[in-house]
Amino acid sequence: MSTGHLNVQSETVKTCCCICGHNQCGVEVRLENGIVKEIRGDKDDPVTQGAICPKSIASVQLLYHPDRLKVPLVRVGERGEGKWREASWDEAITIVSDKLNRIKSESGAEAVVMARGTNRGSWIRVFNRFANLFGTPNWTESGGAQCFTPRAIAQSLSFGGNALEWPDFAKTKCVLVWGTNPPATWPPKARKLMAARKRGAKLIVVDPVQSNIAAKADLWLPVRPGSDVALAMGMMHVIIGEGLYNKDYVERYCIGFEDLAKRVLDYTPKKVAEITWVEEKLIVEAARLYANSTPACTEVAATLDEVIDPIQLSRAVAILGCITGNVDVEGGNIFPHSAGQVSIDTNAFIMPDSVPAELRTKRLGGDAYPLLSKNLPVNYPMAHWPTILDAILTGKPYPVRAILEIGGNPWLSIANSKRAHEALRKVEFLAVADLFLSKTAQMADVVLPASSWLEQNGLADSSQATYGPLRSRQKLASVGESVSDIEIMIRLARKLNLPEFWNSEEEYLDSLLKPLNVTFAELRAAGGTVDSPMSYGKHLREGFNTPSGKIELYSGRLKEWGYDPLPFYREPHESPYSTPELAKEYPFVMTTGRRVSTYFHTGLRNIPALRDVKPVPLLDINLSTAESLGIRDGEPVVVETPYGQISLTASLTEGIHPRVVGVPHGWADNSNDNLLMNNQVCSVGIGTTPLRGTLCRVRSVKP
Amino acid sequence: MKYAMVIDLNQCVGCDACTVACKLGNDTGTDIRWGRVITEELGAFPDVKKLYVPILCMQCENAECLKVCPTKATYRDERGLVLIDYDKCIGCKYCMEACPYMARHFNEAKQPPQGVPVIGNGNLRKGIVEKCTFCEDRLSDGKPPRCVEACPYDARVFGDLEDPEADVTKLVQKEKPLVMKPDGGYNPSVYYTGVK
Repeated sequence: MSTGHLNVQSETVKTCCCICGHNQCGVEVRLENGIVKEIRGDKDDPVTQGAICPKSIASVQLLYHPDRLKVPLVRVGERGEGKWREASWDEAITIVSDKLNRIKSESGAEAVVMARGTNRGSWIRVFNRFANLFGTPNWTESGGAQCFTPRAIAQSLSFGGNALEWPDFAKTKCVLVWGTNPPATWPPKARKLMAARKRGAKLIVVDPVQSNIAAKADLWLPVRPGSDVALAMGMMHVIIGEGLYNKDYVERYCIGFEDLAKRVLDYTPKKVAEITWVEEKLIVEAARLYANSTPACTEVAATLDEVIDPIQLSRAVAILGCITGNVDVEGGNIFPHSAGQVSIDTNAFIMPDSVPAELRTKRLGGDAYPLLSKNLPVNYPMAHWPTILDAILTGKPYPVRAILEIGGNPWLSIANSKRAHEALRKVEFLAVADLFLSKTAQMADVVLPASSWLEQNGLADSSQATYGPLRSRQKLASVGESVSDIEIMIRLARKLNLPEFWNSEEEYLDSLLKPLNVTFAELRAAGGTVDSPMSYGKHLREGFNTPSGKIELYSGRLKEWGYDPLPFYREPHESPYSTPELAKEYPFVMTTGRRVSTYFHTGLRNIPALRDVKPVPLLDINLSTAESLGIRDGEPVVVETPYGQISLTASLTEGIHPRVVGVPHGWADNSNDNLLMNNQVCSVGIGTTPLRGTLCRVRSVKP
Repeated sequence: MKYAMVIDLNQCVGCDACTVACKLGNDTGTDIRWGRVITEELGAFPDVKKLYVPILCMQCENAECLKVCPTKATYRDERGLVLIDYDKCIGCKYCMEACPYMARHFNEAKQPPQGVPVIGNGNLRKGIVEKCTFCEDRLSDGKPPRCVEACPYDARVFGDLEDPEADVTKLVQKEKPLVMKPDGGYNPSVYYTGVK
């Protein structure tokens, strides 16, 4: 719509946000004379129905932020000194590609790490392919073993697809939210969830902190951080013991039920209450409510991936839904499907075989963490960040000489920041693509200016949140010479002479849309959306994508690879029970990683409207605990672990156990939670750094 | 005409989409939030319930701010809205003292950083008191306040209580919503439902 008014050309364009990379909410952007003035939720969007978050609304301040990088920068001073000169794109791309090529010819492609962070526009797998075509086995993510990968593997093993990602809120009678807070991180899902609740669906929330969504729960289970598997096993004990499971579903679609039933026998509610600090009667009540509400669905996120045994936790939570007959049914959890565009989550797209076989065996972390780093059973094997840091610092098993980082900020986002800082200072060559001079970019040799979602064409095709329909994103503005991350990859690929990459973004987008017989330009002209109805029961009818064709409560593949085929509880490597001596010095159980609605990972603290709402990093601490430590609300505190200490501001609440504290994630400098973390203990098989359930102490720092 | 808002606390999850939509749309400076969401806690661990409560100018029928303003900068317009004439405001802050809801804010000239353009209705002043206006700049176009539009959970309903067909009128009649500080006699126009 375009209207002329007092010489102001005003138009409103429907597009899709990508400030968090995952939700991709439909928005309406109002422009005046070509300047973006307002962003609001698009109530006509078939997926998000107008849901929007503060980050999206405030993206105007991201777009026009005075500190945005507008041209490529090349370091002239010492590393981290902050002395730069401006460069042309051609020069910057030439410097990066020459350096990567030289290192590749001198030391092998494995000496180059390609790491990704925030998905500013559906390009994760494009970068994955880029790295494979370059030939390095060492592609990795800041998330990686900490986010999505473990639960994708667990779901693949259990029922052959990511059904946990798509709870069917619209038709459910009960929602079990496990360790995630959708109002802060998944507003479109939270909108559907709150609508389900309003029409009477029950809500059970497992979270050590009474989060935004836990505040709305019928039952809130404040689990001791890191003990979640025990809680899930306790619930299964009740459900199976009391005969509340779906016998018909289990008989027809599942294998291994008898073994599972035997395994959960030990997990009595009494014992589980002792382990998890959740009241016994609450465990029983939650199990009964969940099992007796048919259908019920489960909503999960990265908590499942951030414990000592993420595969077991994801399996346990997934299996709760299986024995109650809630997978691939209306109102339960359903398998992601698309409108028919090319899937970027496949081997055919990512081309992992472009890396020579002998180099694939050299993937850093591959030997210790085969579930993460070898090609099973997810499609995107990756290197292991803590092992990469070791290789940079020790030169073993071979030197890592360069990092190309797109969208990530490992200076802050990798556990054990001190080690990350040493490695980023030491690595011979660091190139970073970002919108701002992030902490990591400040260390770089070359910085490439990337663009925000308002400056990009693209498809909104996140497999985690689309619920089928395909939507699209339109370029509405530009800032300096900054370009999209995909355009950066295209420019680098051209200079590196990488085969089988695209020549332009348009060509890339058109290639994804080919099965739909439409070009990107045609799709936009036709409204930008392709509908795709919900589908249910395909795997009930045709079999599940597992070796047995059934839901594998007992996983033969895990057994074959040397892991426990059934879920079991492993106490965190550090806890009041596994390390009681340490717990005398560090008496609190810590949960880190909690997100708030205004920030995404380490980003957006520099956006004025957002910072105004959440000005300081807050430590969640129980009122009585704080009182005993002489800490009042809003006062500065120090949190210490054996590995480091950080400064936070106390936020007193009754919504947390007196022996648990909640540490926020993503803040810089001396509030960076990753200074508290040890990355030397990682979970078996998958290499996850446990971020939930380690020990700390808290002290007041009165001025 | 009597504009009013009903906020369903059962639907508010404290995500602050409203707070930020307000900040952007009204160009409020650092530390100034015309609308904000506070967290109340009822009970003690583990039997505790958090309640998220949005606070804004309550548009009182019996407005204390109106009474104390020495320059008549605070006035009631023809639509019944309590507003501030920035040209008359001398920043004496009497109204801030008088407001029972702490809904007024002194603008100390902390502004969005240089380079971020004015994107809303350009309420950029300094040395004056400012507050929520129910987004009066949008009402003549038939648009609700920005906080109402931004809410992902449809927690807020806005309209004219003198319109018997308006959703807000029906809600007030049916739900018998609460107001904040009812004993003060301020007769605020912001109502709350969903409080157990």
